[in-house]
Amino acid sequence: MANDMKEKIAQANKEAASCLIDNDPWWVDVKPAGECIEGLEDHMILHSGPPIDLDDMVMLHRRGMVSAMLFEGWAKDEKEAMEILHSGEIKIDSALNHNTVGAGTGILTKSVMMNVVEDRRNKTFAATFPAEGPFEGGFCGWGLYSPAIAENLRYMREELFPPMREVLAKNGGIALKPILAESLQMGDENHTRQTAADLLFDKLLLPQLFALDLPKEAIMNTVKYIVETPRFFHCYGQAASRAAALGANGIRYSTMVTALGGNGVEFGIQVAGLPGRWFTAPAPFMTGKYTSTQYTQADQLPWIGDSCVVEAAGMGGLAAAASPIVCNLRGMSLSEAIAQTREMERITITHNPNYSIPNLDFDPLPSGIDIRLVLKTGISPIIHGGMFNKVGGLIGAGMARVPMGCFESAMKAFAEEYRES
Amino acid sequence: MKKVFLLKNRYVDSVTLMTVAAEISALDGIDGAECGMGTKQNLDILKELGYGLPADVTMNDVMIALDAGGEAAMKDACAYVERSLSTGHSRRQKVYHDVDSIGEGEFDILQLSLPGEYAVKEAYKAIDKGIHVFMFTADISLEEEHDLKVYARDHGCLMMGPDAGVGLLGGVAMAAGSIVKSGPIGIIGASGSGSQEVACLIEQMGSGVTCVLGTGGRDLKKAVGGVSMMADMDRLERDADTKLICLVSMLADREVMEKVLEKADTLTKPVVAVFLGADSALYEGHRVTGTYDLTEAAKACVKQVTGKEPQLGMTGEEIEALAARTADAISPERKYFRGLYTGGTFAEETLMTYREQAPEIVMHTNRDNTQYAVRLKTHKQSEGNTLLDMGDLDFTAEAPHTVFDPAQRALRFQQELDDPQVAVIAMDIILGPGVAPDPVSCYLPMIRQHPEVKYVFAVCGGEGDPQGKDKIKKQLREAGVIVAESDHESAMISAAIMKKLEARTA
Amino acid sequence: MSAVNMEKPIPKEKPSVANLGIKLFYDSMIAQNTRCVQIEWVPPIKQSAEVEELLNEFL
Repeated sequence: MANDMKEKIAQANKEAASCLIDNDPWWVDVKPAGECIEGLEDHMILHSGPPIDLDDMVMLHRRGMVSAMLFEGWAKDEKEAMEILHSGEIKIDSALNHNTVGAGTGILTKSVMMNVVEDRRNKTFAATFPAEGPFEGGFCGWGLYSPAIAENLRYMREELFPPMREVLAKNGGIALKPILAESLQMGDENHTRQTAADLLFDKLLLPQLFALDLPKEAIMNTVKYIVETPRFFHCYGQAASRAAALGANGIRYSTMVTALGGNGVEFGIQVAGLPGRWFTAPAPFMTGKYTSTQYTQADQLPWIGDSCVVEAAGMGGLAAAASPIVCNLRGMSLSEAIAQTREMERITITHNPNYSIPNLDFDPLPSGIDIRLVLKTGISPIIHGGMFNKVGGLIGAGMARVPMGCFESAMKAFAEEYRES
Repeated sequence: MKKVFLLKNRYVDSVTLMTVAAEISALDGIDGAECGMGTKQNLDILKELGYGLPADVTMNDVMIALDAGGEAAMKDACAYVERSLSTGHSRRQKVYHDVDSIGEGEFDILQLSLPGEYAVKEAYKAIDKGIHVFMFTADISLEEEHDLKVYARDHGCLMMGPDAGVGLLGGVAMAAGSIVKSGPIGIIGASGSGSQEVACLIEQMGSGVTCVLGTGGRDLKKAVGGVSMMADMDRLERDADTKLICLVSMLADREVMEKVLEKADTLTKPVVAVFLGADSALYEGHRVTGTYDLTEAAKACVKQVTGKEPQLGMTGEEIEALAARTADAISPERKYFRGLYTGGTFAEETLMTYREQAPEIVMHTNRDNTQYAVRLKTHKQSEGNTLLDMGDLDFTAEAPHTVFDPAQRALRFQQELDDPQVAVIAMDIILGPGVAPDPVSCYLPMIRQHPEVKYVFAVCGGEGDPQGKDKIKKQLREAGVIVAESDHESAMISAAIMKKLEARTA
Repeated sequence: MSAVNMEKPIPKEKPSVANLGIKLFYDSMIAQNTRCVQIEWVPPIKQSAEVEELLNEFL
């Protein structure tokens, strides 16, 4: 009888992991969030990490809420914004309760233009917000708002995206998996580093842009945006990861982690076999390198952001061996970077044969975090990311470990749900 | 015939695909092979080579183009590709983190020396996977030991230990054991150094062993009931290579020893037994050849398998003469014996021999379960004639077991030499691939510096042991040490010397 | 199924050994040209009784 349960779990996990491994993500469109994020209603604001009350939010999120009100025109100034927010008129929800990802502060409302990715194997869609060009962070990522940011968002929406949409309409979409797979062989881990992915993407997209029958300036504005925005491909990797994990959402008996993210106060995970539920613990601090010696952990905001969905999909921290440069930032050697991936192997369901890594002597990357293995080994997933200052702005980069508490409560909930009574 | 197979929605880099293509080209029945992603370029190449392209090929698919004699060869080649691409070209040795990661029957033996609280669980896992367990770990309860041994027996695995320090399987010495030549004698030992000594002496006398199955030091306790020894007897009875079985133990629970001897009565093969300290009444009415010391046991084994009386060591007269010469060279104020023993059984055998040969000599010891000596007030200080079991908890709590690292015993050796009344120091030197690589160098300078003290050592080791048994014996003899041929002989020699010294003062 | 049927034979030729614990014993196996792996074991983390139970049930 006991083996029956374990068999069921093994089968379910196999199925869940295959959603990640056999995924087929395509960038197909650029649309307003209200048209591609399921369940995103009018007068609703999404944020990163697990659900949290307005009054408990860190400053960055509260500021983001106000920015959202102003951006959508639901309030005319900060004072009014706070009043309306406190009145309960505005619905506030976690981005990861929808088919999207709240990177950084993850502020999303219906009018934000989103990149839409279709996973043709999992039959899912995920939308992620594009980088805001010269505005590092900007509205969605950092929760900021200003006339300049507003203008930039308009500029993106009305000038930069139409040529992209035209390309997509013509070619039916751009396949993302080959880009991710090849970039992992070229030094990217696709969380904090996607240099190769950017270039591979550019090589595909740019010629198609140039081929459009549009004024040169229009095309060049878009091209400039693409090539000059740092880490441009980041949102595509997140969307591909999210769409794959959504395919696993709801697979009964699966103990695979499908989502994870923090809100600066708490960190939460979601599990395939327990859809719609969050398992939280206090958000962790990151370790790594600060951009300046003036910063210490006292300045650091505990983890905020959902971009670690890429770790759920087997990249980022799990792909350390692919990206010794990222690890080098934390003073790690090549063999330590490899050891990090080897460590992650011990908490995953299987390997992804699409991601064969030279530094691992072409062994494939581990795929599919299993909450049971995390508890058994005491090894928590490593998530790569950037450190936020409590008062805003990035002050460093490094890694954090997902708090054990998340896995303990998830396991207990799993037992309650599935234990034969 | 030519056919193209697809691995849909799979990314593999071109170099890997080329390598795989080269590999499958060499397979039986394959005349040609190409592998590549479904890019336009690759599609054109295949078309030119005369391959028909599947309608649903996209640039995100891996194409395996095969030119082969038949369907079967194609199927095999595709399977090869799938396997190769899934597992990678890793030359990396698999890493195991616990017994869970070991496959069913992937190894013959689990050599286990974790702390007790973890060892039991791992032992059960190994047995479930059909792997024999050699457990050096000692700190588990008698109840746990009993249950584990029963489980192992019922699942067809050997359970050697807990508290097993010696074993020999397939010519390989486990833990602190010795490498001994192969031969027809199977040894089952509830005594580590005891079974090691018997095995080495058997080799020295020209025969060999099929295996040394250690049962651990507590197998014959009441609560364990001899489960391993009896299961092993069954095994060796059925083992084609074993012609004679030898049981080695210290004196144990009377009922359990009886059970063991009754079991031996049911076997067809000859059985030699030594329960160190037994009286003749124990063996009476049983079929075993009962012996009373380790050397006697080894001789009995060799005699029965070769049909010849084996020769080992000195005659009684030779020992007497040696003892007289040696005693004469010891100055009158020196009157005490100090034995520093690594092997518990060697300590016991020596104490027993002293009781037999020189009962007038009062022995002190740190050993608990002995009828032959008085307990020392503290193990740190010798009193009068003292024999120390340095493998006892007193000593091993303070330093690594001296069989692995001579330092602790070397310090004690110096301490004994500082005592102006010490006349004779006796020690056992144990060899083996798992113990101290250099067990004697630390003593030689002190020995040479103190010729006023007489030394009687025995070296327990196999011909195959890396320290070099002959070399070690030579080094000791050159330094003036009396090197006996066995622990029993060593005890006989030192007891004879001490008897003469005792008589001198009387 | 009788124990004798599923009995694993006494190793007669060079046995293969998995060493779990003292590294010295692994070294000894290698010195004897025996196929041996050293299991890279770390003490399992101290679980709460509850988590330990859950893992026994579901893993």
